[in-house]
Order: sequence, then structure tokens, then C-alpha cells
Amino acid sequence: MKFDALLIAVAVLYLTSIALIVVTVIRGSVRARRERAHARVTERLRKPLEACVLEGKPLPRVPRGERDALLELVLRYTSMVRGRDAERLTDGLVEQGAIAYLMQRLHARAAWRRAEAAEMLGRLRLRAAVPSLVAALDDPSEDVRTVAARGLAAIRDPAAVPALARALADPSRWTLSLIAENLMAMGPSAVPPLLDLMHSDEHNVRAAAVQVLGEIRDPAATPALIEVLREAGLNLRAQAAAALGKLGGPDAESSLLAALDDPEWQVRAQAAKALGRVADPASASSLASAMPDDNWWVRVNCAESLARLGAEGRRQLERLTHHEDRFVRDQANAVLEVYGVRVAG
Amino acid sequence: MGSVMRSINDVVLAYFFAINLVYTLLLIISVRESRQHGRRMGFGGYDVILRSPLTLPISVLMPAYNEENTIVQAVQALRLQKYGEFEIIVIDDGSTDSTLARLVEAFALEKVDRPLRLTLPCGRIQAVYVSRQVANLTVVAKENGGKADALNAGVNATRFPLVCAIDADAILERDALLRVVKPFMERPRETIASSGIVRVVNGCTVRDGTVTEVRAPRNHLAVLQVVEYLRAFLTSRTGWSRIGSLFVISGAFGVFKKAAVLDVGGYHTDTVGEDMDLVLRLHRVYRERHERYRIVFIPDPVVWTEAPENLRTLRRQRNRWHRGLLECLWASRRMIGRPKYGPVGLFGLPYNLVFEALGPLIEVCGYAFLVVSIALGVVGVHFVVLFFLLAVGYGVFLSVAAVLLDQERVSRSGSRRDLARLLLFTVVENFGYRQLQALWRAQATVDFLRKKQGWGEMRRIGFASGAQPRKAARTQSASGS
Repeated sequence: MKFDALLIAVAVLYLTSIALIVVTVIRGSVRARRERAHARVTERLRKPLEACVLEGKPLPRVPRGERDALLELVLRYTSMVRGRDAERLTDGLVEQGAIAYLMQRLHARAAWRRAEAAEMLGRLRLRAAVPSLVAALDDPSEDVRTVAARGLAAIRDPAAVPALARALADPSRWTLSLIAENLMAMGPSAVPPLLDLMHSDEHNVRAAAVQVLGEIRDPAATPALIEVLREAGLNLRAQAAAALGKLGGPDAESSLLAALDDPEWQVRAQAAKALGRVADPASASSLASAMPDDNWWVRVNCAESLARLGAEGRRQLERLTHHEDRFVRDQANAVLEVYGVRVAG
Repeated sequence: MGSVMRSINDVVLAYFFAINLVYTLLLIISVRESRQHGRRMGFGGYDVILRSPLTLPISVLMPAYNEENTIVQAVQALRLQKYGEFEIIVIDDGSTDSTLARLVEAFALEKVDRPLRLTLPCGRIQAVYVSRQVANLTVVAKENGGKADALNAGVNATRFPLVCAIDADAILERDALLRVVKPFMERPRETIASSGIVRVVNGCTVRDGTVTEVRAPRNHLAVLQVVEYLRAFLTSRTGWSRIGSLFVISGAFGVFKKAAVLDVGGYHTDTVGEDMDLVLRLHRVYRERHERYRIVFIPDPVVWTEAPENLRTLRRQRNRWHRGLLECLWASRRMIGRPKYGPVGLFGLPYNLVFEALGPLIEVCGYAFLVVSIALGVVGVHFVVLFFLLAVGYGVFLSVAAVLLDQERVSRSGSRRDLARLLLFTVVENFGYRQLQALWRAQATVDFLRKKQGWGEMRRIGFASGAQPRKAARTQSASGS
């Protein structure tokens, strides 16, 4: 009995292994053959498509089976053409039902199929697709959300900005970075909806909005950021300090100088760093007097910022090398030394 | 006598089926996970993350002990990483050769009196160097204290919220940092560690610090290890990561949240498995605090390492690995089987105890009993042969699955001949190599038990003479004498 069972088990195992190998080899060759066929279709369609782009001929009609190849080709050209030519391409696709097919795929069961559809719609820069893509920002799959956001940003429809800004609430920083990047690419037109978000209840949203405003560097955001720096919670205050450092300007600078006295070290450290970014020699004395801090990072940032303030900053650093606190002396010395090495190099 | 032998054989048989059942389950989980990951890759948005100012900056730590031949190349290759903001911290762990001199010369290093924030205990730091040419390079020279101690010193010198520990002889993919940072970006609060697939570089072509062509190695021992690595990473770790009980973040390449490393007191210097030890402590501390956390493995090849091509080196390496495992299991013995410690306590640790730690002993015993049983005529020879074929069959099946999974996933895979060679060695490894492994690990278990007895005494000597444990790889000869 036992013997038979063993025999069967052995046979099954060896057969499975062999079957696995066979299946992989077959799959490999099937895939290769499919790729070759795809390449053939693409090659055949390329000429008519070029005629469509360059000479204004209508988009070639293709059977259903070749739709993917056509879409792929069109996507290659949409990154190069603008205006009427682009419209002719997308109109052709609409006529052939390719767009409807993509919209439908936005509701496919497999997340990667939905993401694929969202990606293609975004790359086609199709205005008509904006509502569907906005809806896709609430997709359960993170990949679909990010791809949709990227697509919306590529279309650059101002109508999508509020939706994108809301999507900043996404729990994933990966998604958030991608969306933020898109908002930054949109520039000043993204600022008003972001400013609206400053009154959001969600901490994450406000934090993200503060960061993005810092990256866009539109001075219109300065007053709102100063308000956050004065009144918000610890984390937001620190973020606002960093953002104001990127924006610069006299108002930002004076509020940052005030933030050097913040009760929390995280805010003081960020303010010190931001002042180095603003690089106004007038703030040197304030930084120097803020440097004898209990916290390591505040000392480091003050010293490094001083090194960025030109002659005046370095004078203050040299003065600090005689400070009574050993930690302050060491840090000032170290920054001067590193600075010297970097300048020489 | 016969019935005793028979029941012992039954135990071995049951054990054999249990271990292979576990492997098969892991394989199934891994295949699913790996497919899903492959599909997601296309929508990664890595290009955007690369230039985004919101991407988390990383401090890369590279401990070096007597690496004069490779260190400059290693740093050069690291500088080519496709990543936004990162700094490179090389820790010269009291090398006795010209490691430091080579670095000073190649990167125009200058000694600076920079104070380090000593948040983790580490050996005395002799000097800190910065480079005239490379703005993000820092070299910390310290007394010899072993890899763990060097890493602690490196953590003290970091500025950024993520730290990445890498071996000086590891070859990274160009986008390795970008790939392993993804879990941190996806779930910034919970993710505390991440790592990826380590592969064997032997036989591949390396140009400018990256692998340009993947080939199967010429050396037979190296091919065996290629198969072994594929099995370990593709079909095992991916699965463990999925069920939340991964506790091997490879020492060759792993990224940690600095705050978490500081929380658990950094690396411990009294173990040869410092990487596993750290991850296990992360698991323990976060579980005890009831905090949510993730330790993630990405089924992407990110780092290549050179496998030993002769038996002596390989034996030493495996001996060290196995002792590291045993030490870690011993250190976290209180976690084993406790639901409080989640999947790690319930599955990960018991699995490693029963199958990885005791496995070699049972396997060696099994062979011995089998021989005795045949001699006594308790079981028939044909039964033994069949059982052996079954064992080989299971081994081959798992290895074949791993090799093919790799073939499906990686577009850069080698030629058909290489594939055939790998498949051939999935069979070959069962005759000799596997038994050798079991023997080495059994030997390591004996070493571990001996060392544990003499542990207290050794410590005292260490303190009295002021000597510290040296680099793990070189400890053996010292502790043997």
C-alpha cells in the first residue's frame, strides 16, 4: 500500500516538473510568435498612420484584433503632435470605437487592465476622458489612482485641478508624490485650489498642500503659509517653514526669523535651514544667536545656513568658534572646515 | 529493535512530508505575489519619483574592512545610482591594508573635525573625511570592531531618514535604491525595512559597476548556488514577506527607517548574524508596542553578489550563516510560538527552528538510520530507492519552479543553453551538494553549542584585553584557536 503511494507520488512529481518545463518553453515560443505578429501589424500600419499625421489623411480603419497595435502606434505619435493633427488622430480613434473600448476597460475587473486603460487615455490627452479619469482617482487600486492622476496632469485641464488637489489626501506617499509632481507641473494655475485645501480638516492633505506650494514657488501662497507657520500644529509648522524657505521674499524671511524662537526644535531646525536657502546676509546675526540650542539638528542647520550667507555668515561662524558652549564651538569649527574643503575642491 | 527503527523511519518520513508541504505552500504564495508585482511594474512611475523633490533621501552605509582592491570601484559605482538625493558613508573598520589611503587618493578626501552624533554605541572613531570632489561622500575611519559596529558608527554619521546598508563587494542594479524605496513611499508610516532579490554574479559580465549580461557561471559550484539563491529568494522570501513574517533582510542590501533602527538600539555586535538579529528585534519591539509596521521584500533583482567558487570558502560561509541563524533563534526564543508576536512568532520562527535549524540534524540522522535499517533488513532496498527518488523529485520540482519563475519574470535572462544548464543542476544538486549542506550545517550546530558553553568566559577575556569582536568573516579562525 505504502509502496504504491510512494510510487505514485514519485511519478506525479517528476511529471509535474517536466510539465512545468514544457509549459514554460511553449509559453515562451507562443509569446515570441505573438510579438512577431504584433510587430508585423505595426509595421503594416505605420505607413498609413504616417500619411494620416503628415498629409492629413484619415486614420486607417483596422479590424478589432489589430486595435491594440493601432492604439500603440497612435500613442507614439500623440507625444509629438499637437492641436488639429492630434485631434484628427483621436477623432479617428473615437470613430472606430477605440476610445469607448478604453473607457469600458477603466471598469475591468483586473486592476492592471484598468491602470493600462487609464494610462492610454492620459497619454492621448483626451479632454473627453477627464470625467472618467477623475472618477478613477477613487479607484481602490493604488496603481490606477496614480496613473489616472498622471493622465489628468498631462491633459492639463484646469477643471481637473480641484480633483487632483483632493487626491492629495491619498494615504500613499508614492501616489502623493506623483500627484504633487503633476500639480507642480501645472504651475500657478494649481495654487488657488491648493490654498483652499489649507482649511481642510485632514492633516495629511494640509501637509501635502504646504509641500506642493513650496515646490511651485508662487509668491501668492506666502500669506497662507505664514499663517500656517504661526498657528498650525508642530508638523505643519515645520513643513511651512521649509516651504517658505523655498518661496523666499521679505515677508517669508521675517516670519522665519520669528520661527527661530519656536518652542519646538523641529520648527526651529527647519526655520534655520530655510533661512540658509533664502540666503540673506541680514539674517546672519539672528541665526548666530539661535545656534546655541539644546538640539543637535538646530545647531547643525544654523551653522550650515550661516555658511551659505557669504562673508557675514562666515564672520559670525568664526565668532561662534569662541563660544562658551563646546558643542557650539565644535559645530562652527566643523562647518567652517568642511566649507573650506568644498571651496578648495 | 525493528519496530523502533520502523517508527523512527516513520518520523523522518512525516517530517519530510511536512517540510515539503510548507515549501509548496510558500511556492504558491510566491508565484501569485511575483506575478502581481510584475504587472504593477509598468505603472510604477519610477521616472517621476526619481526627480520628485518629495522623494525620501537615503544615507547609504558601506562598511569596509581590508577592501583596498575594490573599494574605489564600489564607491564609483554607487555614485552612479539613479536616485535623487542620497549620501554615501564609507566606514573604514580599522583596515590593516591601504583601504583608507586608496579612498583619500581617489576622491581627494580631507580630514575634518566634524562631530558625530553618537546615538548608537560604537567603537572609537578616529577621523571623519569629506571629499573635495564628491559632495555627498563621507568616510568615517574607526577602530576595528566588526561589521555591526561599523554600521552603528555609520548610522551615527547619517543625515537622512532612511539608511541603506550594503556590502562593499555587492553590485547594485542602477535603480536599486529607487526600487526598494517604493514600499517606504507607499506606506511611509508603517514601512520600517525593505529589501530585494540577491543574485549570484558569477559568470555574468560586469561593466562600470553594473551587470550588463546575465550568464550561467562556468564553475559548477557557482551554478549550484545560482539555483539555490533563486529558490531561496523567488519561492521562499517572497512568500514569507506576503504573510508578514519576513525576518531576513539581506546584509548585502537592505533599507531601514533610521528612527526604527535607533529605536531598537542599532546593530548588535555579539552575533555573526547581525542583519537577521536586527530585523528580529524590530519585529519584537514593534509587536510589543502594538504599533503597525511592515517589513517588505520586493521580488525584483536589485543586488548581485559573488558566490564562493571553492568548497572551503563556501563551507566557512555556510557555517557562519547557520550559526547566525541559530544565534538569532536563541536570542528570540521567547517569541517562538507566541501569538503576541504575530506571524513571525507563529509561523516564521517555528518554521526556522523546526526545518532550517533542526532540519540538517534530522536529515543526517535520517541517512544514518536508513543505512542501518537496510543493514538490519527492516525496510527493503527498493523502498529506500523509491523514497530517495521522491526526495530528489521534490527538490527538483521546487528548484525547477524557481528557475522558471525567474525566466518568466526577468527579461534579461540568458540563453536557452544557460537555462538548460540551470535545469540540469536542479537535478545534480540532489546528489552530493544537498548532503554536503546538511553535513556542514550539522557541524555548525555543534560549533554553536560549543561556543555557547564557553560564551561567558570569552566575554570576560574580551573585556579584560579591550579587544572587540572582529569582522565576522574572520572570527572563526580566531575563536577556533
